[in-house]
Amino acid sequence: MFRFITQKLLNKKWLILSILIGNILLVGIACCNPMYSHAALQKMLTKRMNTYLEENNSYPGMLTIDAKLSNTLYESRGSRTFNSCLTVADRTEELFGAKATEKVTFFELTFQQDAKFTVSRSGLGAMKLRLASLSNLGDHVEIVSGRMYSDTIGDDGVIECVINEKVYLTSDIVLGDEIEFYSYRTLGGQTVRIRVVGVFRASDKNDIYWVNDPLSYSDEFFIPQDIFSGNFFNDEQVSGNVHARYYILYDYENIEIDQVSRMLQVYKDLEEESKTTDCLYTPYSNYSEIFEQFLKDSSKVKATMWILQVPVLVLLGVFIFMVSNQVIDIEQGEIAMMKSRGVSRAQLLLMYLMQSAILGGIALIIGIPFGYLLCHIFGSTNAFLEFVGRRSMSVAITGESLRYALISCVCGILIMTLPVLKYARFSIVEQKTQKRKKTKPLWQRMFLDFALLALALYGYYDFSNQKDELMKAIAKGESVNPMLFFSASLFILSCAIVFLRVIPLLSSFIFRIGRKMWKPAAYASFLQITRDVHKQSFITVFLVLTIALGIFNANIARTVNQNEEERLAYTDGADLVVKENWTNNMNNIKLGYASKLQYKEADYKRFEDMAEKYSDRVETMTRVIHDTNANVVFGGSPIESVELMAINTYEFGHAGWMPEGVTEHHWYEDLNSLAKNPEGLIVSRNLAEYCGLSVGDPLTIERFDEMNQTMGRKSMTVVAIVDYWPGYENVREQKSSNGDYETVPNYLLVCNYDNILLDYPVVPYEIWFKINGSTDFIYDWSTENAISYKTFTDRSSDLIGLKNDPYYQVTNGMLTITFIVVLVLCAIGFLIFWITSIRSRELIFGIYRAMGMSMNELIRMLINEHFFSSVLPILFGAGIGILASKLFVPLIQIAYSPKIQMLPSKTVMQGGDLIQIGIVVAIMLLLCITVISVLLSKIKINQALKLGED
Amino acid sequence: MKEMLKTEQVTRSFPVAGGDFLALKGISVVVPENTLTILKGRSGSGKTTLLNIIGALDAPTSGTVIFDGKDISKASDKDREVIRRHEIGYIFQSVALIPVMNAYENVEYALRLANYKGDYRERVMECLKLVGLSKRATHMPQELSGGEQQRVAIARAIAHKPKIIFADEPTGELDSATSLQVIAIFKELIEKEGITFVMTTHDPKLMGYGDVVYEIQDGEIINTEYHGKGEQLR
Repeated sequence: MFRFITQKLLNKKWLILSILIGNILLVGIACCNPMYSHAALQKMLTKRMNTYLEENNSYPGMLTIDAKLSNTLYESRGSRTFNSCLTVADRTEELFGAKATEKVTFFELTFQQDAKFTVSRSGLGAMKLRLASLSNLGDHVEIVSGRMYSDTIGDDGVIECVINEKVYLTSDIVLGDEIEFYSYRTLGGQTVRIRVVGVFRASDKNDIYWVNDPLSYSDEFFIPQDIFSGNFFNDEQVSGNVHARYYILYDYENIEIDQVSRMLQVYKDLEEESKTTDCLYTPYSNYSEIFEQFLKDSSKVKATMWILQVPVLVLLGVFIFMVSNQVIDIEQGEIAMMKSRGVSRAQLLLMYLMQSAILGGIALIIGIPFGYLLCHIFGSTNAFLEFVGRRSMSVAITGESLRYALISCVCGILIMTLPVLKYARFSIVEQKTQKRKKTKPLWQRMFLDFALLALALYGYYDFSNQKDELMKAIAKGESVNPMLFFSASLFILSCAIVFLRVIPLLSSFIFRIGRKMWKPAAYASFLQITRDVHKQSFITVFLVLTIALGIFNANIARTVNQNEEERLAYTDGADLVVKENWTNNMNNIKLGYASKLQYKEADYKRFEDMAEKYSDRVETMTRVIHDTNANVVFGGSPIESVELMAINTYEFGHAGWMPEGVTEHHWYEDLNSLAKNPEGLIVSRNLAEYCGLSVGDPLTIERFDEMNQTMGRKSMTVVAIVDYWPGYENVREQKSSNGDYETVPNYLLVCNYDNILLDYPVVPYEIWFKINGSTDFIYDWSTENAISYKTFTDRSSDLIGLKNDPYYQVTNGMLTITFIVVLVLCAIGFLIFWITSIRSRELIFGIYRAMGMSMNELIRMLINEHFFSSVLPILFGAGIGILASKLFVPLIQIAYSPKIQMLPSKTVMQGGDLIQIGIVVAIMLLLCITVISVLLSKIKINQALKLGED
Repeated sequence: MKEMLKTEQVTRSFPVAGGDFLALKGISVVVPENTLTILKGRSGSGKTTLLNIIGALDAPTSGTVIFDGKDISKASDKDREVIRRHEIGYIFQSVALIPVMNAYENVEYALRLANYKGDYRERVMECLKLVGLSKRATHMPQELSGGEQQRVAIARAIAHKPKIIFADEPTGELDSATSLQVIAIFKELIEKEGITFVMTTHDPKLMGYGDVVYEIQDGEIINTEYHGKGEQLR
């Protein structure tokens, strides 16, 4: 079996297969970019729309065109007519290129002050009344009592109307009542008379038709729309004040991301138009903000994906070139012979181009489905090298992805054909003379490698100097500067080619040290390495590149993930932080019955019981009074909106989460200082600096309740000054006067829980939990006990949210794929190099053997060679990867930092990744040595030396 | 005259489809010390197979090979390696220098492999001088002509003072003038260094230079000629 495999490996078809693999990866990765970003962004859009629905309880994809008409307004309308609103409403569908799922037209007649009416029946009191109409009302209601209105005015000139249950129940109206508006006339001059014929309720409350809750129409009497528009307004005039509203609802779950920018533009155009003086309508949309943010984020996701993808695409290009070169090296004799026989250069190129095109074609056919598969892998990455069985996205092969596939395929074909160029020039004679020349490559003679390294270092220097600007740009929502990634890649590449100079120097240095004492095997291998640099240079660069890039990418992923997870853990403060809804007397205060806000404390014992019941889950539970309504009395004007936490020090120390290594001393020391002094107060560094406070100083605070009424002042003593505190961010965003967001310092006060309760009434507190394992039980328990929360922060669910964010998914997915591709390429490249290198040196091995070198010595010689041309580059690559990470990861991390960078970010390197690379490399080396040994033992000395004639 | 090498009824068969192919059918030859022995024959006659066996590169299927008084026909791979390393030198048809070593190093490498006990530099230069290439010591193989390369190969073969040198078509890729030069060097070395040469060739012009010429055909010796020193064996 082994013999069979090696036999096949020796054949050229394995090289061809490797080229094919390279091309398939190239096409797959290139085309999965648009496919994945399309799917992920579609998912993100839909999710954001859904979030809007959940948070605002209103339909997300809705455009509203609002027109309030009165005769005074009509006079200035210019050429506009009322119906132009209607045409705008109709046109939007066409402009958006999307079909509306529902269109609702609402008209309402608001009577002028003097509109008087009489009713047919005495005993009806004063009532508020509006005439309204909703399009297609009949289709969306069920009649509870009476019947639906007739669409035409009856013979008696009475318009039939229906009312909803609420109006029916709260007024004295009964079915059959007639109302006559004697001071109000239709356009035709008739007195308006209506008759209530039915009571309706929404047939389905979740019907999107009910943009407004049906019960919110508290004094509307609905009449047929045709009657309304025919009798109360037309293009020329209006009777009274008519308020028209067009609701155009788009199927938000099916809004394609391609439509987003169009819809946004159309809306903006409408908005612009509405500002002109003679325009009668005002548009509203609840999606424009979502869309704008979405467009910003999606360009960021796309840019990130590209940036992360380019190095691996380049690497694949290098790989394809390398193997093609190897194949053509083997075929160079053939090529030279063909040239000598009169095959023209163009014919030769065409021949190889066709061969490449066949390979490219196959790669295209396999690569596209492969890219599709990759998208699903992306979708299921949870973290770096971690996959979960997440509900996969609806990935579709888009036209764009096909375009990308085609472009990458063409690039692949060109790269495959490129190596032929250098041979196509020479005939067999020229080729032999060419072989003799041995000069340093051009880039080495011109010191291009050092120039590139200098450029990369300059890039690093430049970016580290602009760190602050970089942060600001990211905070503004810009995507990361691709030059940063470029500098990092350039750094790795230039180090790799500088290393090419180092290897022969190093090996010749070692060689010289022991020139006399080297065993023949070592001697020969040293000479091989120092004298045959050119042949090995490509594999050396390739190995350095792959290993360094693999490690670099792994470190980016680890750093981004860990920093983000830590930030989340820190800002959440604890595993679980909840605040229950307490009943209070706020309404009474509003009505003037009470003046001081009072709460009825929710029973904390329920939580204690729960903690007992789930004692295996709840490790710690503690009450924390936490609000931002404190003032610090300082000089003339107090510092307002200071964050205050009142804690039970011992429990808080267990429940609160702080990252390690951000503070000089452990934060427990601050807790201890607070515990020792009941009147103690921990203040944040920024507050201490602002007020010039130091430990031991007194400080007076004033607390306010939620109605912004003072709860009194209290003096405490500063016992500690902190930079970080669980859940505390030292800056916050505030909308400035010009509408931009700006960061302002956020101050923190921490004091003892009991001390606060001495002087202040109890206010709704937070409960901080340290949870062991899953938090699921809290959800079940809360539902069972009907507990409603004002705030509920679950770190684990926040974490899932983070992992589902396309930005992070793309990053993790891309980096994971890159890492795996790098390892695969590394292994294939390595084996190919060694096997072809041995095959081409069979004759030399024969000579060595004939001269009496033993098989073991031969293998030792190759292992020594291995060390310098493979192990050293691998070690060096690892070093470069680590160095590049140390230099560039902190800069790249900025691209992933939140708007407010709270914690100092750190570069994370996981030994596990290095070990993973190490294992793959070790397996590769082992496999290689085995293959080599077997190959060598199969070499018949006499055959290798071409001694045998038969 | 002392026998450097002697074979008795040596056979060698190779497995081929449908049975074994007998390449050597019981060959008995004698290689006297300090002579040039030529194995003559057409392609496929079995002369290279015989050379491989007497050169300790291959083992016979049956029969014995006595090299310098020792039976090496049953020797292990390891023992044969030791013999090759110390007592035998090879010259090949296709120029077989190690491409990454210059002329000097190629010769020196043989000394290293044989763990030569004398001064390397002196011996290497001596050998290069013998083949007339002392001025080209630092040239890389690809910078030398075919004949020059073959002369380096000869210098390498004799460097560690082997008892016997096997040359397989050493002039195969050389023009006749260069070929004669090579043979002249062989003859000179036989005199100066006391080495024994065994070479294969099919060039009839060279036959007269051999002290003993064995003609092989279909795995059998069909004719033996003696010239010069060899006359006394007749």
